[in-house]
Amino acid sequence: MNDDRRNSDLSTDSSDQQAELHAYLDGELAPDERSRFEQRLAADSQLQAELHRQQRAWDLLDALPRSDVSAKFTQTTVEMIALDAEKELATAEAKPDHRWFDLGLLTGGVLAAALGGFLLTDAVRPRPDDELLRNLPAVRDLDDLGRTEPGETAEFFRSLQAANISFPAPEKFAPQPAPPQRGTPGGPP
Amino acid sequence: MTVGESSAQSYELRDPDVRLMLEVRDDNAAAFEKLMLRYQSRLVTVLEHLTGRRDAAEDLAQEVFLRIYRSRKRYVPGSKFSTWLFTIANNVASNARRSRARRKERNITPTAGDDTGAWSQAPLEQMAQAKSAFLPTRQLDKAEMREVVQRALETLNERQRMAVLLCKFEGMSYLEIAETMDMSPQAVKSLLSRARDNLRDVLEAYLERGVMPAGSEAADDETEEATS
Repeated sequence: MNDDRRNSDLSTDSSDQQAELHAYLDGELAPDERSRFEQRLAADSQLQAELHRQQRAWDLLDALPRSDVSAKFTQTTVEMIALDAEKELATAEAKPDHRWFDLGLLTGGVLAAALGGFLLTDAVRPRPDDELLRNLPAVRDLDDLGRTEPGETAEFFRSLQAANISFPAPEKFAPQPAPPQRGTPGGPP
Repeated sequence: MTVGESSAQSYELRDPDVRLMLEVRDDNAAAFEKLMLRYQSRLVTVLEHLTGRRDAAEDLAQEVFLRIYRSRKRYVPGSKFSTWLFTIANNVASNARRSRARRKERNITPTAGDDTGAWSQAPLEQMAQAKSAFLPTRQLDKAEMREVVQRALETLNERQRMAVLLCKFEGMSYLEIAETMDMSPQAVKSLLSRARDNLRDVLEAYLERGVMPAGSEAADDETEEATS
């Protein structure tokens, strides 16, 4: 168990060291790491040999050819893209122009919303005319009510009193004494 | 100004190809052609060594340019243009490899010379023999060396190969390779280190003992590499 762990640790250390060596060759070490690595390299001939082997193998990749594409490749690529652009344009043109329709729809929607809001507000808001409307019959008969004789109204209040409804009759509705007769003292001449 | 906006402006200032791509975004066809001419050979080189086939590489390169054109309206500079282009190339190549692998699975009795499935690889020995019959010794040495290196490259899995090609041919930093391949820089460091060790083993065997590289793609250890 311990041997396995030790071997694993050694392997990890080894791969870390290799990765550091490769990073050095790729110029990927930070200045302080690079300085430490170079100190180690100067003192370690095995590390120097490994560095040279790695560098030689990497340099062999220069033998791989660089591709040089023909003018025909460029032309066919441009043509392919032009065709694609043409298709894109045709698709865009095939679509009906929805702009005016969308604008009309938007305007209609706004107007409908405004009307709806107005009607709703109007329905809920209390109006001063409501009271008048409720009392319309009384308003309509106002003249007739005005013609009511005081005696009739007094009769009405008295009937309320008789029915034990506490509604004190005003003084002016109390029975009046009989007016003085002509030729009597205090009466008209 | 947001971080994204300042980053985009910084790439626009530093990278002339980013500026060209911004012109492409505004439907400037000449700018697109300029970008194509600048990158087509570099792109085909990487894709040819990645796939091992010139015709496949050219098809993939055209697909990459088509994708760039189609995505022009959504382009926002978030990296160097070359990093963005090779990110698309990496995705296109990975998709193509996956679809070829699926076709290979369906085709259970491939005929000789069938190029479906993994990228086709002619046996090195056959190629070397064919060449040795026609080429003078000096040329043969160069050609053979090229074949050996190509075969050595083919022993790497696709991720290792892509990382090596981006590092060697495109001179990308670990950070740029990480961005291109959607990995962490630490994972790229490990990936490249393993790739370099594999290449050294294979090439030393040829140089010192004349052992030809087997040429078969290494076992796919992408899961391990992606998580490291």
